[in-house]
Amino acid sequence: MLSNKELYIFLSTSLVFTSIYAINLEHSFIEKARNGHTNNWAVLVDTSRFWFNYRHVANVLSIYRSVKRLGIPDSQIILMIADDMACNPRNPRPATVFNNANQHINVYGDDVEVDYRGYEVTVENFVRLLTGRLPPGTPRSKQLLTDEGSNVLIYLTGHGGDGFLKFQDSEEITSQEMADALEQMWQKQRYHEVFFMIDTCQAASMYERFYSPNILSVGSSMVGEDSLSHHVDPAIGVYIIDRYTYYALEFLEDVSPESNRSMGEFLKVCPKSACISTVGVRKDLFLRDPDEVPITDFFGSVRPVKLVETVPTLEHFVNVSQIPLRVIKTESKPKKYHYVPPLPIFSKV
Amino acid sequence: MGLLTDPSGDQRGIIWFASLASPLFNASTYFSENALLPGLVKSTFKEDRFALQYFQELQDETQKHESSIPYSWLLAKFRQIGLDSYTHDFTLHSPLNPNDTYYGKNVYGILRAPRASSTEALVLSVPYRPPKSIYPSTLPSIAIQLAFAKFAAKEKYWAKDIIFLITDHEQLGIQAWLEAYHGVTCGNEGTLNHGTLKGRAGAIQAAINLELHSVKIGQIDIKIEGLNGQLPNLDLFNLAGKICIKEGVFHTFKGKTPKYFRDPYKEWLYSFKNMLNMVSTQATGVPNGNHGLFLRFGIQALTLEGFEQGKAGSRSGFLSIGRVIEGIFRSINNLLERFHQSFFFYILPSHDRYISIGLYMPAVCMIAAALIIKACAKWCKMQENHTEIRYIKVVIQFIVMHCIGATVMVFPELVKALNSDVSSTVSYGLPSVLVGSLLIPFLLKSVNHSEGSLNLLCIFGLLELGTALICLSMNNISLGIFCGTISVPFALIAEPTKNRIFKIVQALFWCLIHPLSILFFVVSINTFLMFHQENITEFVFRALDATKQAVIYSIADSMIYGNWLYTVVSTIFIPNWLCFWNVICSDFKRHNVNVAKKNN
Amino acid sequence: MTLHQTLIYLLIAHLQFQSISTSDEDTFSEELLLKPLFSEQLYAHFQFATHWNIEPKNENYQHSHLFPRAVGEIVGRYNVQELHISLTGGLWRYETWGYPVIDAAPGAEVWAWFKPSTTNVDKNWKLLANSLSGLLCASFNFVDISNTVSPDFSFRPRGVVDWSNNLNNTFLRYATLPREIVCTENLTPLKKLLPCGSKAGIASLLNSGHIHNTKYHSTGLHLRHVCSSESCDSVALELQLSVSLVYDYAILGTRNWSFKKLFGHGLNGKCPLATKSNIYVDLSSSKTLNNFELSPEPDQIITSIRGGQVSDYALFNIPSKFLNVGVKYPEDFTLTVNIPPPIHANQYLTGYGQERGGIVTEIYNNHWSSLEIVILQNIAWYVPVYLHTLTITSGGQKLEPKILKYSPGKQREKPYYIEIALKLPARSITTVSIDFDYVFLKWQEYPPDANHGFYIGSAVVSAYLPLAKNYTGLPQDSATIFGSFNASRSGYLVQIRTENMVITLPTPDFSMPYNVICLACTVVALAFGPLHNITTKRLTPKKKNEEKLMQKVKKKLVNFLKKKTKTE
Repeated sequence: MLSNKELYIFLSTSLVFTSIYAINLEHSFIEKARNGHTNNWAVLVDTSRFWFNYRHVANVLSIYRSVKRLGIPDSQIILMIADDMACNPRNPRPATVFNNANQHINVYGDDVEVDYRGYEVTVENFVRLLTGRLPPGTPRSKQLLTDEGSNVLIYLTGHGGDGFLKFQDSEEITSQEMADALEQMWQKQRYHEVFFMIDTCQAASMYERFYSPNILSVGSSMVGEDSLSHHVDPAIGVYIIDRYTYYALEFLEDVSPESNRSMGEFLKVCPKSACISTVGVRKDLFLRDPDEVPITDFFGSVRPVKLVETVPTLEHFVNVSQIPLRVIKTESKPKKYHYVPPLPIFSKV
Repeated sequence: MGLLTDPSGDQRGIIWFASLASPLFNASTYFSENALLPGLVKSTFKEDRFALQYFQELQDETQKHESSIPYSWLLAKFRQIGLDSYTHDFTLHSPLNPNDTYYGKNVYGILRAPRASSTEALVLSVPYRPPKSIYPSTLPSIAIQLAFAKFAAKEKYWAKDIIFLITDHEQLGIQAWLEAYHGVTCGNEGTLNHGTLKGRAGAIQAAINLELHSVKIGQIDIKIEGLNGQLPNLDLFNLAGKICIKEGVFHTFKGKTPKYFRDPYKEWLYSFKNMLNMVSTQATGVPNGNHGLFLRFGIQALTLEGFEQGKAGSRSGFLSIGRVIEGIFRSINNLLERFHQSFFFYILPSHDRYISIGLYMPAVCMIAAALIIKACAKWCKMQENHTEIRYIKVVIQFIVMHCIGATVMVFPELVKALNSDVSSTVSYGLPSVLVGSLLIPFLLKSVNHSEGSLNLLCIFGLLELGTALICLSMNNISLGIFCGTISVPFALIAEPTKNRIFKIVQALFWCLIHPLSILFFVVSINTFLMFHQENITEFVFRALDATKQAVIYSIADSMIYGNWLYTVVSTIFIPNWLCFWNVICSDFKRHNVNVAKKNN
Repeated sequence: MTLHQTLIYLLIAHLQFQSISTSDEDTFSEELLLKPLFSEQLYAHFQFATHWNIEPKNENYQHSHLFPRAVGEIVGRYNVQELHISLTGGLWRYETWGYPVIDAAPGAEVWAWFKPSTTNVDKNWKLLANSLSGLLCASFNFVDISNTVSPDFSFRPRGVVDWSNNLNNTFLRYATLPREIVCTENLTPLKKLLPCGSKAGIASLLNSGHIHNTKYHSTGLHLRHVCSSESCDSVALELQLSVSLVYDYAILGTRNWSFKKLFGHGLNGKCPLATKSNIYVDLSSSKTLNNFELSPEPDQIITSIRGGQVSDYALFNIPSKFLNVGVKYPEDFTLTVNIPPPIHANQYLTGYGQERGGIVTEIYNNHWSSLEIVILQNIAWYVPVYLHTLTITSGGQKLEPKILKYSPGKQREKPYYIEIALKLPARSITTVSIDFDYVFLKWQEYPPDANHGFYIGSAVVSAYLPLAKNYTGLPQDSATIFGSFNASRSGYLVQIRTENMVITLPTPDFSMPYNVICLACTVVALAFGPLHNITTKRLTPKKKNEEKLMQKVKKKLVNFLKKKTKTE
């Protein structure tokens, strides 16, 4: 058996980290709390199936990697991926998805939790997720448990057209449906602010119909424009990533949780010379000036840490041994347990 | 009534069809399936050294086996590369002589895709030809196949198993293997005993058949025509072409160098010749390579035949050929869904242009419509004239004709059941049955035909021919258009007549388009093209002999592979021909209808 | 250190001591078995077992020590007696690789026994599947009654039960998802269930980039009740987590493997919470022809005699320092002739076209005597099979099943379930075939990749082998690989999973032409009615009513008044 000291250090390290963090951020946290933004969520969706749409999975994983790195925990990220590229047998580099042919960043990583995958990525599930109308029995990891203090990052990528986004090549969500879903979220007090980001062809058409407050939107291309892919990896034989997300990831890689870079800077990512398409921005629904909003308001996370003024005494904690156990009364005769032979013997049957 | 009496729909259809060859009326090929991603990967095949080594070893090995497949050597090689290797035995009880039995042995190795669970597979097949074979050697293709297997075995990106198949006895081997793989018999029971397979790899998605005749390849010809005129998906053909271009291998379709002309007429003529070339191959329904037998099972396949002599001048070695195979296989490996985009029905006037079913079907429909319109017109005329018609008799006559057709169809089967030598019996028996059937109109003189009955029979014939042509064209456009162009003009003028000269002229023409005569003409042209220096009697005898062979082969094909050319001809075209023959040759009494009318 | 931190330290320390004092009977063991197979592959099996001596009367599963709480909660909430899950990529090739430690079907497979006190098993099953999908990031939420069966024989409880001999299979549910892809996102949550996570111990070798670079990878979660004492009058919960990998030398590029080559790095000490941390290397393939050199020297060589099979294992106790186990083969490597195991099976489809087809299961009995087996087939409702076409032949002769269980499927509600008990003749190949029809689905039931085809899950062939030849499975009473050494028993259970199959159902063309055809047909259908009316009915002018409007009104009024007067 190991010594108690070893165990003690081992198990407490992670908790201690959190507390240091909380103490350092004390002032900014109070400030944020006053703004009404108390937690961060991210809904990241790839709507494309099939191996040749590798780039869309790379797109969504790039954002996943960034938000996770900047502090949003897995439990507050809803990741929807319509197809498995990392473990696709066609992938010559198993369990990896790179943003670059030079294998610069493995955006898939070693610690990833996909909440909706494959056939589960449908328009219905997506709208249900946003509006919180999921069937009973849905596990917690598949629910968007936001409240009026949540800043939500919604990122969509796939094949789009003027006013719609295709889901798995078989159905589509229209811009009106998207706008209505967000309105419902607003009415149900399911967000404080939304940053809506979309990388598809004619992306701007998806946010044109939004009418709910506190939404900042950015799309990779204007109506009538195609969003283009960045480059091909000749070893895999597919287009690796889309231009807009490629440059967005490049920008986000330089951002740290303490960084004070603003959303305004982020909205200027990927000028037309790099993207070929024009990046569209819609600010009219958003009440704040994006140049004043730190990027971590959407990509980072506020930890729900409660500051206490006095030192708690241990009596306030429930003692484990005091929890009343549900004891089921059993008959006094002790039970006899036994193994069952794994297969019946039929010659005796 | 102008439209109804004008049978020129037929001409229009033929002109339409011919003009489709012009680039003005057809389209360039393109990739319809996004998933193929052709040529995006960098080729990494470097095993050409091994291919050469395998080739030399194989040459030594084949010297030891005069007429059989060196299966132990092949098995050992497959095993060494790390494949699951198996053999497959099959037996053919000759359809023509029940006492003749042939044995064959296929060898195959399966490369298991690393992270897939053997649900899907691709095939790379090569026909093995022993030194005694009359066909050019394919040993270089076995060498490159093994080298490619060695290369592929260490790659981890395969999503489908790859079956490396070496077949014996040309198309028999591949047919037996496919039947065993799918657990079915396609031809007659008891003819080809397909045996059993020990190893399988799920549903086969696509197959490439390799026939390289030399170590250095001047040009690769892509062959697509399959059994019963089936064609592989156009995307697969385009893919093969595109990868050949990428790797710098000169490729052709129908052995023709791609040419581009300024003169639209020359351009049309070049394309039209190519198109006719494809039509003539497709119409027979006999596959022009081992790929043709895959198609029935829903497996898209084509043959790459490599010749040493090329029109391009430069030659490609094993390295380029290996990379062509790599490119094609990586592209079809990318597919998640089976080939379902693009076209399955098309005609190619050149290697980079195609005529889709939407373009050529109107041509056939026009041809067939001429028949149906003519039938309607006849019917209307009969209604006006109020001629006397004996419906029952006509129907019986029509059925009798088809019974004769059915007899012709089962004839070889019957002969075989009697345990006699089919080929000689058929070659004498069949013509006699057919000649005998010519006499029907004269035997039936006593039936006392009326003009109306004969016209009704003619209507039946026209309708049957029209419907048959459309149905046929849906499956095998070439056969449909071929039959249509030949028979429709004559069918349109067929008419019961009292005029002796007209009758004899009609009968003569009609004899010329008997299926057997057509076969004879086609075969003679072929013979002439091959042996044109011979004198006339020798030539006629040779042509007759060849015709006999052709009939026998088509019977054998239908019994082994389930080729339906013989069945279609015997159950539809021969009875139909007889109907018209009856119409033309029967005598009839002309009732004076007008008088009868007055009496009323 | 600030005051805050110190206080928190104290606080945590206090809690830790308490929890240790309450449940110090949990044990955890981690083991790794490396077995060079006779073919060109290496088999690596990670076995993690947690034993939780929970009070038998205590139904509160929320306070555990080494046992993952997430699993405990699921057990408690859904009244689960036993739970077995496997997520597998690739196919175990029985013919060349022999038998694995734990059999698993390609894709996802889950089966569970519920406690007899469960009132609504179907509901619990559905909720359990949903929870599992959240727990393991897999699509278990697609498991429902339309793809679930309750087999009579094949899946009996593996752990101890207090039921009488009559097993009531209404508390058993079994389902497979043959299409499931398995990847890092499934491994990540599994690693989080381990006491040391992936930070220390053998689990730190599970480096996703490397372990997916294999021919076969399977993760498993097996939960059952075991005896907590010799007399077996009380039970404990046991959780086995396993990861099986098969490396291919051709893909690895070399036959001389080492931890660094297989997993990307060596092993840095053991998990401090584990009571047993061992690595075993099977030396039996080294004994025959190709003598490999093992480095470093093993701590111990164990000879295990089990069911007529003698095998040597090199045992490494994981030291606290760095460990990189590896082997080196001699230059001249000889290919060995592969001896297939006593029993293996394949499954394939027959027929072509889209009208009729057949499912064939071929079972090879290479044993010198006859063997009793059970075949289980769970066939999805969209593959309607016909029981009267079921034929079983062996060597050209018809074989009568000992027992045949069949329950017909129902469209969209229930799968077809067939379970056959057979006695295979010695050294024989037995073919079980059944025919099915291709059916059309409703338009919206086609998945986005409809032309890929639909999956039929693998058949399960269970047998109780008399010999342990090429057998590495664990005995029923043990959860560790160590427990399988010298464990001779009356029989050795194998449950062979065959290949999945893909069938192409008749699929409409969802592209442009299909839409055009639909539209054109609709237009024709709409036009047909009026056109038919116009052409078949004669239009005749109706006689015009000569009366003027005023007169009409007047007439009506008069009539109306008359009626009124009458009624009055």
